[in-house]
Amino acid sequence: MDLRPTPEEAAFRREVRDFIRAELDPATHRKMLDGRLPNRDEVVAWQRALNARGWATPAWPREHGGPGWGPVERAIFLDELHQAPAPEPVSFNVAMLGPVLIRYGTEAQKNRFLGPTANLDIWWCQGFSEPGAGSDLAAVRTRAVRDGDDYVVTGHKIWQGMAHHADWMFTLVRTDPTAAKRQAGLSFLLIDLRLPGVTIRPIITIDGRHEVNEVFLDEVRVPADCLVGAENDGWTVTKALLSSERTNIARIGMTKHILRRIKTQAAGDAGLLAKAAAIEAELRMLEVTQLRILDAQRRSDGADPRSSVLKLKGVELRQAASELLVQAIGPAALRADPEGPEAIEDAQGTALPNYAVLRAASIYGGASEVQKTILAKNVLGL
Amino acid sequence: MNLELDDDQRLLKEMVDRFAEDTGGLDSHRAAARTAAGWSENAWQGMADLGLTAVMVSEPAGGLGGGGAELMILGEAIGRHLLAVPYLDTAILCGTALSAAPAPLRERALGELLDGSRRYALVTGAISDDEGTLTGKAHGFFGCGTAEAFIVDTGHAFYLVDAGAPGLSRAARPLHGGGTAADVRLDGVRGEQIAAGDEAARLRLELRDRRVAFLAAEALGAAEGAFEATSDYLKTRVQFGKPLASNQALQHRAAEMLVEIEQLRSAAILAACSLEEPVADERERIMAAVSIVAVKTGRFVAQQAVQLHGGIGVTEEHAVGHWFLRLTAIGLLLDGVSATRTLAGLGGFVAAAPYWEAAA
Repeated sequence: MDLRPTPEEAAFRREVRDFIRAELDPATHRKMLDGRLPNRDEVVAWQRALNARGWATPAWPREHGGPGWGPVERAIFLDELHQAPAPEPVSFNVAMLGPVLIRYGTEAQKNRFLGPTANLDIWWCQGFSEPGAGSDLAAVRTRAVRDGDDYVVTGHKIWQGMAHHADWMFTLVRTDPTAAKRQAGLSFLLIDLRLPGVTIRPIITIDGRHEVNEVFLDEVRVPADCLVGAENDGWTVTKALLSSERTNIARIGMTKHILRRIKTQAAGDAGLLAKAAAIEAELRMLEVTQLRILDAQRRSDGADPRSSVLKLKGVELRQAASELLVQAIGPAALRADPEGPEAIEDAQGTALPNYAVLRAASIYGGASEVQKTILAKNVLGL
Repeated sequence: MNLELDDDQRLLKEMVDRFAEDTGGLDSHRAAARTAAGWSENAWQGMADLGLTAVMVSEPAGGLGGGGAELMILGEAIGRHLLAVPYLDTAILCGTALSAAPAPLRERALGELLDGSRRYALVTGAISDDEGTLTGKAHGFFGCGTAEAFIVDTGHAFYLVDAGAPGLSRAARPLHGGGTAADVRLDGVRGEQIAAGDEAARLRLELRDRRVAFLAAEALGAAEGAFEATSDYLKTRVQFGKPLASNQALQHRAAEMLVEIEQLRSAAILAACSLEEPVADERERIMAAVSIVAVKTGRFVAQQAVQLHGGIGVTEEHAVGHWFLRLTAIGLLLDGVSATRTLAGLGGFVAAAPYWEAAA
């Protein structure tokens, strides 16, 4: 038994780190060190730099422009981005939509979308959740009715992250309301957000930022060639999309970055540093848990039900670290700005907003309660 | 990274698991607790006969030179099957210490340890040492009540003393969770030196690391045993006309236990893989982190296993209570509070400096 990286893995990590150091815009890096969000232009510039290097689409097969990495290389790459810290390639584009287009898209769809998706010429957002369909995604009600060469789409989507930056949205819509099983009447549709009938409304979250939106669809005519997979087979496509890249959900490198900020803030405070040590100990074991799952994936590339362990514990520790950073700053963390956290000059200004909005991490991507039910059913057979 | 066992290790695991399953279990654990020694003579002799006492003894000293994987195999099986044996204290700690002794002493004392004919225990304390004449009070845990010889760590050197030596007296008492502890009083007792100076300091760290790694593995085995029993119980116990497992609140509790057990397994693997870590501070950080996590996860799993079993969980008639006590004992021995202080004192795993500066 040996947990140490191979010389090739160590060299790869070094190569990734050197590239990020050389290519990441220092202004973007400074923002992220302070817990601020990069703006649209900065994210686009960084993704294009990664794409020029062939690294924007880590999980895509080589014939579609991916770098040909295995699960271990992908994890190292993301860990270096998270620890730097640097922006990830936009996950809606490269982790979610790209792989399902490659698997379920027509040749015409692949030719049309894959290149611009990798280069962020098209920015995608997801259009799954609705006011009545959260964790219970199969309850979506947005209707798509075939009319000639179009689908006419009417409905109300919610929680569209970065929709105000996005050009297109991938959605789950109901094409057969009479299907015996709810899941059987759904289709996966790509919608150009510039089409008539699309309205985007911002939702300001408790961190004071505008990251998520509602999208209203009012008789939007979507060309039928934007259907991915067969009509009424959208649940299959969506399940594939949601199960991709589950091993990187522990986000260990992000938690390490928060811990570094705590160490700076709490220097000399034995009580706070003991709390940080307790988080670090668990995080060190979570790294090993992730390595164990990656090791298993090298041998069989199926979905590992233990991924739920990574999500649950990864989120728990990231939330605990963000909370500890606020505690380390104390009441000074309460200072707000009407313009949002990005307008506060010093690095302390982002701690409380980031803590607050990180509560969402145990809600999105499969709420913690849903993860526990998955574990109980799949792993325990309860 | 390679998490597979090699062929020899797989064979060892099969043998150890089979032996532990056949020999251990609730009834033998209860029977052992009623003996003066607090552990099973039968199980211990069985391990000696299979050569398992030699697994962690170095090859030059006549053992099998086992490393982290072998240690984990043994610890996990002993914890899971409630095997009442002083494996850690006698075979690992005393075996490791005697491996470091000068040749004549090593050959004589180790031979008696490996064939199971002589019981050793490690005791520590503030002992004055006048050229091998020892005076002071020492204390030790499992197996100390019935040991026939002691290895005494004076804080500066290690000595072997016979339990019947003139000037030695002990006060033994049973322990919750099994075994006996003792206060050992030394009044001008002659000891045979095993190691001193730098060699003793090196040995002390080796014993610390092997102890943490074994206890983490034993905690893993005990937690797995308690969890499996709990999972079976939830599926079969019917209340309000349906199995307990149909209650989502209980499903979620079981899922939480599973998450913590995965963390505990990672802790045991990390400790096992770090016994040879060359950087002393990093090794100490890792052993502290392993201790913190093993204590936390072991406590959580033990408490939930009892809670989900209901009343039967707090009786000594059911295995779950025995796993609970063993996990409680391991938690106290690993001492999560001082481990947290140690890890914080060493600066933890990440520095205050930004990543690129720290990782340069």
